Amino acid sequence: MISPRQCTYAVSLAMLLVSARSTLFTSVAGQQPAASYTPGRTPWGDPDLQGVYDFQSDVPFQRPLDLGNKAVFASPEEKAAYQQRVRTNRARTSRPAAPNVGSYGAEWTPRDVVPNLRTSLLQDPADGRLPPMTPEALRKYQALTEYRRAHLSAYETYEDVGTYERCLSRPMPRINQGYNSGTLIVQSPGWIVFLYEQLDTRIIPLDGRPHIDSSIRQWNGDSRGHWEGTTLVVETTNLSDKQKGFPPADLLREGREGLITTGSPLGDEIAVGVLYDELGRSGYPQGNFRLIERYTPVDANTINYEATVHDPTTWTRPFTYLMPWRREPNYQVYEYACHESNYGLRNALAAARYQEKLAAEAARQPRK
Amino acid sequence: MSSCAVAVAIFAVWPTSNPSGGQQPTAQGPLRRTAEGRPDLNGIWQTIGTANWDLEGHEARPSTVLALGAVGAVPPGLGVVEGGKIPYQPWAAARKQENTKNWLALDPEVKCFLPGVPRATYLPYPFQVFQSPGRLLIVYGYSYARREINMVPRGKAPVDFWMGWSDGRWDGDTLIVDVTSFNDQTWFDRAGNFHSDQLHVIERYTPITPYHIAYEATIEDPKVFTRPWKISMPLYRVVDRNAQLLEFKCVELTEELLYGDVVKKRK
Repeated sequence: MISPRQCTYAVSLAMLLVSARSTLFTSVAGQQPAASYTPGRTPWGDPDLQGVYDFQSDVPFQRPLDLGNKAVFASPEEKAAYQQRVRTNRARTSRPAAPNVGSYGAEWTPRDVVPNLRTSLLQDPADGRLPPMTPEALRKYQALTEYRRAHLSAYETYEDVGTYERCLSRPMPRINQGYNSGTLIVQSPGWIVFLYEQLDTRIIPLDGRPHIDSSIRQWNGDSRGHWEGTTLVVETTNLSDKQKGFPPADLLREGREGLITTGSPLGDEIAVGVLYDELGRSGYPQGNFRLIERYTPVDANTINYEATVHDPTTWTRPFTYLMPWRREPNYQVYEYACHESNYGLRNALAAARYQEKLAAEAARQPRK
Repeated sequence: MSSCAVAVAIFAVWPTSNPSGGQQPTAQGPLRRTAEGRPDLNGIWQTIGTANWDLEGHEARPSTVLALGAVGAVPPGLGVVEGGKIPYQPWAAARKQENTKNWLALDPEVKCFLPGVPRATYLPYPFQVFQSPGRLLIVYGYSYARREINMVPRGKAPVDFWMGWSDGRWDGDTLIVDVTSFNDQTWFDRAGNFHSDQLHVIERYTPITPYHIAYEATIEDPKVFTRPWKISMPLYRVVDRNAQLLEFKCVELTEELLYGDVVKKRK
């Protein structure tokens, strides 16, 4: 199948080449935002955020330790270095797929990242690092890591696999992902809907109704929205505690190195799995946490997306990350039929059972 | 209101011809309209009936799964196909019989696969329409099924899809959706009615009261049928207090069925 991104990529690349020199840094998040921006209104009077946005990014979730207090790349040299990295990222998209199994080729990442001069997505705590986990969460995380170390490569059951690889759901809240992060926003009176290209659709009422009963837990939770000026504020509860992301990075390095890696703009190799690991997405507890998201249009093409996670059972204090969403008029969000062709999951399980059978047969052979 | 009363109310106002664009009062008040003057289809809708069991008229029949007894039995239905029968070519009629016989093994719905069109409409789950100037989106309660209706031309679809490629336009008060670029993987119902990748569906959504839409789908497929044929049924507005679509991510509900034979049995 051809990549649905190819033709839109060509268009957006052409546009970027035309506009990069003059506009790249005027629209880069992390700069001083415009004092105020007033979006248009829908016919029923809500701020109009509709359209397709992308939040592809390779800014690490946590600030690399060697950057210390540096929250934003601000000097001319740093900006130039950043621009070089964005160019490198673009060049990366013409890189052929490595010939090994599991390698993701250029057709998976044809889009540019959303320019962002911040050194981490995390903005609070101010050091750009996740707050300490609670002792109980730490114990559970260590137990889970041991479990995964023992069971991960064994592919014993689909339940040990990330919910994304099962074509079920992307864990909440969404952070940057390797590809297909286009999101269509449509509004109707009293509602806003976020249609993520990958798997999930979040339908959010804006009419002030109460949350659904606490006994009903959902992968995407239960969201209620309201407007504060032109900022959409969404509160989400009723989240499933079954969320599970990619394996922790240390396990990736042990067993499946190179499966999913991206070149970080900050020079260190960041596995996508690391990001999920950092957010606790590897299956360690997120309990029934509370999520507050703020969508603030800061110019005609940018929404500042800020998400605050309140999960006192896992972290000793809330944290907030900021991930700019960029409008992408040429991005067509296509059908994401994933489960329908999820041969990988079945094949991995079947191959593991076959290997077990071979091992059992070998064990039964008399010793020479 | 009993379903009988609903039905009476429906047929009292069912259009006998293409409705004009005028502001016709209906038995239940004027149609809702957008600021642009189009019928306002926003809201949560659902069908009532047994079309998903069998588009054609059918008697009640026992459950395929013995243990389910009356709970799993198939309810009877009058059928929604104009003229009663689906005009299969002879080879296709034989294939449909095979599908019926092997329903549980072959029906994509059993596996939580995307349902296609028009089946998404009459699955037993509600769906929500989002309509704003130049945009129309339908999100179905079933799995991750959803459909962006192109109200501004987007050109030809680059590939085939489970849910097809939908181009919409207004004809008076009727929304016409032309759906093409299907794959050959979806079915029309649990009775094994099927199509090929030549499927072409033309849907017509005509609001007839603030609470009812007359829904029609014309189905063409020169590989499978001898002529185009049509189904029709009302869509009912879901008016339950605080109604919202809840997640029915059926992928996780089918994994043991689909992968159970290759899962390690733990002691």
